[in-house]
Amino acid sequence: MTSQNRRWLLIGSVLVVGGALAMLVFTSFTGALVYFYTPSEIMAKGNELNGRKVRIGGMVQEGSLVREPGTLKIRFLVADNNERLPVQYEGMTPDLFREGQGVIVEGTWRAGATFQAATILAKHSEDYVPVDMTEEGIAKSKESMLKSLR
Amino acid sequence: MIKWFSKWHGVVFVATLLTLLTGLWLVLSAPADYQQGDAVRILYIHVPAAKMSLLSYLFLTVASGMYLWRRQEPWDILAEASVSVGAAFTALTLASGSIWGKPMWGAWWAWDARLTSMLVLLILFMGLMALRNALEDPHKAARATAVLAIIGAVDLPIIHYSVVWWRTLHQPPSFAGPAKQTITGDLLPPLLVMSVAFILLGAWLLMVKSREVAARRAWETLETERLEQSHG
Amino acid sequence: MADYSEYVLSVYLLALLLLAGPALLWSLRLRRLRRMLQAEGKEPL
Repeated sequence: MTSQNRRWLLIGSVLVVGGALAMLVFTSFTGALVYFYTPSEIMAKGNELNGRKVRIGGMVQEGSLVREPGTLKIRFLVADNNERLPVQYEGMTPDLFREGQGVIVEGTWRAGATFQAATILAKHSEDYVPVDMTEEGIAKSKESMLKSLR
Repeated sequence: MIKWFSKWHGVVFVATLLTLLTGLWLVLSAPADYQQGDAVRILYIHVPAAKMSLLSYLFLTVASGMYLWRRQEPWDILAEASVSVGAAFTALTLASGSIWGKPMWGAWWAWDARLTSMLVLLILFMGLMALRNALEDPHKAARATAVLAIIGAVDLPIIHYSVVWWRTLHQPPSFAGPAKQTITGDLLPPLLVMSVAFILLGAWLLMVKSREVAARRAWETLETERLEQSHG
Repeated sequence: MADYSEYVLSVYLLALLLLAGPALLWSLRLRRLRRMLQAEGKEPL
């Protein structure tokens, strides 16, 4: 390696590593690392979020999922311990997207209108349960998910 | 130390292989998860790899600290080796997580706290390799990488607690001693055995890489001496 | 339940590539270096 190349590698590696670390520590303290908000927090903010891109996380309310026949359109409620937020979405859903399971919806917040999700992410709880114990698994997973939304 | 590695690496290799085979057998015979189905088998690679990524960096931090304190070359050899080993485990962690995330979450990647801080760990390992190559004077390179490695250790608590401190897409830990355990029944043994197998594998990789680094340095010293002789 | 065998298989192949790959590379380099050192009459490490 020529000394010229070495110098560029030195500057580059220090800049990239320093930059990545500084960014991480900075976002740690500003709260930018919070990936999603709960329906309660979103409702409390209300108009303030108008026109902004938000991520809302909660549970898919049991019994609320409606699929429009012949299309990929779905409607459901995202719930936490206090609030329920109606959401519309069109497209393929992740495999873990189910009623009673965690979900994160991403889209632009429009005050007064039903939330249109541009992206849906399924949130998995930390529970791993063999197939022959499905009943216990569902109960535990629900509990953990609600705990994480507090 | 390197001599001791040369003597024992064979034993560690055999132990690694046996544990790994047992682990793989358990992985294949374990039942599917009630939600993830067979995709849960990805986690038997992902979780041990993630543990080893953090453990490699922890080891690197200790070796770097010891080098700065004592200025003994073996600590620097261990530091250089643990960077290479750690980079491999971190790359595997990110890639396997991504392949799990696509069908399960519905996304290859998300900029949540856990994934972001883990990516920073890979950048750290890569940056440390680049930095060592960038400095011609080996002593300078050893000091600079040790200092950078210790500064970078700030990422370790961030990775570990990211899923607790911030709301993330990534799930919280499922196993933290008997008090907190959310993996049930037959899904646990493969994870435990694979974790042990990865620890042994990490130790063996570290031994091989350290020996290689030591041999390369010995050869380079020989070349320098010869060069000096021919000039002098 | 959906079939995830392709995802699972690709992860295990990737693990082989990322872990056994470097191990092989380092072992081969080590062997070459040891031979070179030995040829110079140096004590191999």
